[in-house]
Amino acid sequence: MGVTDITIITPPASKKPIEAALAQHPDLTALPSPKPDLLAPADLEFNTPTAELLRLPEVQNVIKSDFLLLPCDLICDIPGDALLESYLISMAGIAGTGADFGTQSQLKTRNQFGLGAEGSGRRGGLSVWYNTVNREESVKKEECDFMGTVALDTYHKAPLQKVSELPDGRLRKLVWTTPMSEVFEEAEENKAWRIRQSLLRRYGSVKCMTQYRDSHIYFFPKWVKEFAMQNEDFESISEDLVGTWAKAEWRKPTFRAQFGANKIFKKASAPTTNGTGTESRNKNIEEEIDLLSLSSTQITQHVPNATQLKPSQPIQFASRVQGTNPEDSMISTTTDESTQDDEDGQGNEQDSSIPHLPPMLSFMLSSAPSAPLVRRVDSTPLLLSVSLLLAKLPSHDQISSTTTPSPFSHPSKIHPTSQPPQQHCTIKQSCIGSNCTIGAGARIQDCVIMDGAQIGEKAVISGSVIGKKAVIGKGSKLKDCEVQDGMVVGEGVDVKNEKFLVGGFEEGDDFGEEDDDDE
Amino acid sequence: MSENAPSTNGVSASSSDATPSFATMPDPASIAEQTPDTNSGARQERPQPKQASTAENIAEAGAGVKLTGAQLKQRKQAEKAARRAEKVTVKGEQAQIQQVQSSSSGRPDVKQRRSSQGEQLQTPQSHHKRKLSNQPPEPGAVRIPFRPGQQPPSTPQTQQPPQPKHAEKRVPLVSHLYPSGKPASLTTASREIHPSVLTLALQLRNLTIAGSTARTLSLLLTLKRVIKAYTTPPSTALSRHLTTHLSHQISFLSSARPLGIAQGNAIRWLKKLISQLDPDLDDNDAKKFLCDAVDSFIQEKVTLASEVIASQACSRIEAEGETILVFGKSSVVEKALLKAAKDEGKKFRVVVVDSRPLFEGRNLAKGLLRAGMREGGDLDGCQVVYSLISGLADALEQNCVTKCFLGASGMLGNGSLYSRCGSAMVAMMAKQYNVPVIVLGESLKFTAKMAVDSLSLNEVGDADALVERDESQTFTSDVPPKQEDAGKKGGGGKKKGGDEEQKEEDEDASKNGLLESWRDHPNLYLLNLMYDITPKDYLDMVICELGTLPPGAVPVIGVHGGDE
Repeated sequence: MGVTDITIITPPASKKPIEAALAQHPDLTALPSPKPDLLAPADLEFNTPTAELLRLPEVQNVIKSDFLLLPCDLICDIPGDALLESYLISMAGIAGTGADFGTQSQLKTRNQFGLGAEGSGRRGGLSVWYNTVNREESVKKEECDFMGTVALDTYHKAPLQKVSELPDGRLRKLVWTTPMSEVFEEAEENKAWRIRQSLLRRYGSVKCMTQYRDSHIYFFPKWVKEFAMQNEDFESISEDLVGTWAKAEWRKPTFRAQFGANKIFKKASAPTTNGTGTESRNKNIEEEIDLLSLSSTQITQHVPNATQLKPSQPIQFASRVQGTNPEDSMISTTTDESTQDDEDGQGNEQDSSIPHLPPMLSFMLSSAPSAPLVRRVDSTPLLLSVSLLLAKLPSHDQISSTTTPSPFSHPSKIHPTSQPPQQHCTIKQSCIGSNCTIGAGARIQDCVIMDGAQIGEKAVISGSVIGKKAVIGKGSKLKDCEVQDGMVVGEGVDVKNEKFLVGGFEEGDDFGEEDDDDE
Repeated sequence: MSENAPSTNGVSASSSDATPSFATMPDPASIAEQTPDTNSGARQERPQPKQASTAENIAEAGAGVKLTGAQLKQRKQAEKAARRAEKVTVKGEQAQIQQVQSSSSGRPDVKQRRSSQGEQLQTPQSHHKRKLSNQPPEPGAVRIPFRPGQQPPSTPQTQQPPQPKHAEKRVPLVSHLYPSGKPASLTTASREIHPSVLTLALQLRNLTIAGSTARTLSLLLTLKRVIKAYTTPPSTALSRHLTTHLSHQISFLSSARPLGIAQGNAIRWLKKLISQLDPDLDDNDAKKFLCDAVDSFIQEKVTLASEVIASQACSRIEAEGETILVFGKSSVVEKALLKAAKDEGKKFRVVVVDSRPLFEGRNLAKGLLRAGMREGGDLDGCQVVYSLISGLADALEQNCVTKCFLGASGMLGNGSLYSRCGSAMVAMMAKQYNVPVIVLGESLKFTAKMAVDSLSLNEVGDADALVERDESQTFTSDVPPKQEDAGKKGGGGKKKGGDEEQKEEDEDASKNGLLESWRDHPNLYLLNLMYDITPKDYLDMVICELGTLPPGAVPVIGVHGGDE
């Protein structure tokens, strides 16, 4: 539904197992079409930064239109079509002008990014954010992202937006995002946390959230592919790419220029010459008609509008250039200020010619506990809490046939192949994988025990995650521990808050990003 | 099954001879033989033919290819016979049941016949009671009380299946205007819907694109993209297949929002053009021809036409001292106003009248202000006054309005104007004050359809749009936001009392959330009609690209595409 291709991007090392799983696992083979393609770029490793991933040539080739980027560690209870719908309504090019679905001959003559409605401020991005605290699956010290949002512009707000099937939440424009850890660091360093004045000048009311987290669900227009390509120093998508993009709107024009706004959007007008006469006229007709201005629910954009805004902007720059004002040095940008100021001085006339980046929107889920579950499961405590939460869902055989079960619910509470545990076991609120052996007299509470683990007799385990085929010795006591796959914990160990890992191996980065080309 | 069936017929024997692989297959001919038997007496065997036919279907699906033509024919005949026989059986049964019923209730069974199969268990008495009592049959669909003696149009056949409680509540008077079927969404889209059509449909549904001109243009541009991406399937001609291909896309669009008059005209033109294509034309050439034709159509009928209309309308504005009343936002009207102010340097005042729930006039007013119609702006000397429709009389009187410009969604064959809801009121009020009412509309919007009231030809908008909710400012709280979100303004529909205060809304906190729960009140309906009809008596002239005409002369211009 609106998604034409699904690509799973994975490092070459894990291509085989995923391939096998896609071909064999009953849940995966039963997925509706389009069937996912597996892409294993040669240079991709488990710790490749996410923005680097977008620059890989294989990935660049795959992106042919607006696309949707999903992380591999996501659990999302929102129907994807609701999100996609709201993206299409609020951000997509009017009347689908953003989608590149032409015949071959057309693609050649048409410029790469043209017809995108970027000029009218559409074809931006959409990200999804969720609340991390006060939820059932919340854990302590969870990673959060700082976000600043402002109300939507009228041309992104469809008059009937409220009718859409989205769950409770807000669609707002994202103007600032950075990880909370960085905010704390900076506050530590400067004994204060400083906000750029240009942000406040531009937007009167900015809502700042400190306990939300970016779910890494991104709806990106096609030009982001180029945006990532232009900026080699982007490391992560959420921090650098989206962070820069969000700021680009209210920072001075040179800021956008520095990140390649010129190169990305200026192309649109350039290649009119290489088309034949009629085709260039075709394009003209689509460009000269501003459907949004014609629409009665939108405010007409006037050409002089742009020039009117200009006089006010240089004044801002002027004040900033003169003063050694602190707000310039505040956000750690990758450039030195001197060059920027130089450009500023002479570039006032050019400023008007630097195209604006369309905005990045954020869909913020409601903070109420009843909000649907959206989580990135990227740490062990989260894995534990989310697994336990999902295990609480009524299983298929417990639900009457009339109500549709949650997509996350298990077919049955107890797997048919599982062996009955030994005598005198106490197992409370835990997830136990298949083929586990649990010795007699073991006590297990609030645990996730993965497939094939062996728990010795009279072991007491609580709040722990036991990896696949791990062996826990007899009579050991583990509390809030983490045991990696295949580890053997000796007999009689009594530990708390410990990690049994091999060689300091870190939990996998989001190595396998899923990449759907929508539309 | 086939063993049970007595294969007495020679035909059946021959068919099984010809295809030995079907030896175990139930023979259709034998079913035909069998069913009259069941009809005549053995009713306990009635389910048999059904089973046989399904078994047969399965067999057919398995190896239906091997059958020869003659066999197929035979089978079809046999199937038909079987079906007929089945019907007869059912009827026979019914008749018997009815006889039993009628004898028990003591009613003549003439009346019984009228009742359908589904209703057969209901006694006629209960039925009549239901009609006479004014009670709704179910929460979903409420019917108007019928006059006594009048034959109710809703015979039992039309009774709908019970609906969930929160299903669409419909105002009975305009029930014909409600869209049938599900509104367009990503899930209802079939595979062949082009992505840009999908996007457009969603944007139309959520009124991101509204207004007749914008809708028509976006439709044409999208269809152009569809045509570009289209490839003719083998063994069909482009001129034949493309129309059906486009029809699918268009019907999806119309499920998002009913097509407007101008959109209908444009589609009719395009389809006619396709059907007249030379069949010998190469596909690529044909596609190129069509795309070029769409481009020139847009240019001729919309872009240039609006240009001409704007300059015509401009010439009607005096250089100084005019006050022009406009309603809502019409792209042509806006163009005309800007042209007069910008290109011709005329000084005038614009009174923008607006109404709920779309507040399109607000967009026009903002657009004019941004264009510089304010003190110190580019178009200083022009003024913009904003008023809600409830303050229309005051707006007319205090501003000494000299002309009224209205945009059009359509011009009907009888000279009536079909435009955004509220236009009629504005036109009538203007007439009251002897202000000339001028309609600006491209001839693309002319139609031969006629309507004398707004109920026969209209569109029902989303009723929830009338319930106004304010976004609450706090959203990190433990309270579920729904309670906070409850609308501050619950004023009733169009009757909501607004003030003529410029750019101000009255906050009416006392009616907190009155309309929020309208679906729960069985006797409360919200109706959001999108359009209304202004009779030609209230219009003074119509400006289209072909000239300025009196409204009565609209049919003379000739309707685009000829939709007689």
